[in-house]
Amino acid sequence: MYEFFFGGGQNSSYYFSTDLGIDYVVKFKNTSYIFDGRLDFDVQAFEMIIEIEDNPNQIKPPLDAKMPITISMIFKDFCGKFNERVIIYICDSSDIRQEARRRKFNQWVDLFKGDEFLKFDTAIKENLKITYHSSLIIRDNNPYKMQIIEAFINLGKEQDK
Amino acid sequence: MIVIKMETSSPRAVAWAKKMMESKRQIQAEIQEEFKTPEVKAIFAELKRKRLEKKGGLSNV
Repeated sequence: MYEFFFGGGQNSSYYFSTDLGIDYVVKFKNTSYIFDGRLDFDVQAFEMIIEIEDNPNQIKPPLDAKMPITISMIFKDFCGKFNERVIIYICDSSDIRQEARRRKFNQWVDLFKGDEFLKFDTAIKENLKITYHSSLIIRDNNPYKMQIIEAFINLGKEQDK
Repeated sequence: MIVIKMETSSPRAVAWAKKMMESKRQIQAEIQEEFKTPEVKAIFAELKRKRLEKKGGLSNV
């Protein structure tokens, strides 16, 4: 696992650097607003964003065995003490590599699997080429899990209302 | 872990997904700006220093 640094800030930023010198940032942006008016309680929802900040050699990052455990430890560090936190992850589709990102994200999530979390996946197909993949991860002991999952499903349906 | 899956192609769902992607790209742009700040540069410099130290690369420094 790579050593990471919690920088905090508005988006709870975590930083780490790989053996190849690639700098990553993981952020958790508060997106609770997407549930506003849909539930009669506050949802602590955060979008998880994993980005390369600097890739000095400009090479495509190769498979790195330390990455999955690092990401999963950051996830656990952020969610650890807060049972009510809900994480949303959306695969970037700007370069049509969203399928690869989905597989990689699932691999990372597998590392903290167990009975502790529920994962809800959505695949929204725009056309034959573009599918938007998103996931909602919620603790199984969240007392509002069913209401939150239902609200997440309805977000897409109600967007134009 | 229990995994539940849903597939849809409704125009409203596509509009929601596009809105979320737009928000994501905005954050990605912010991240690129953030990297230029001295604070973030210092964080990565320290992380790299520690990593090299662990490997013994800086043992004589």
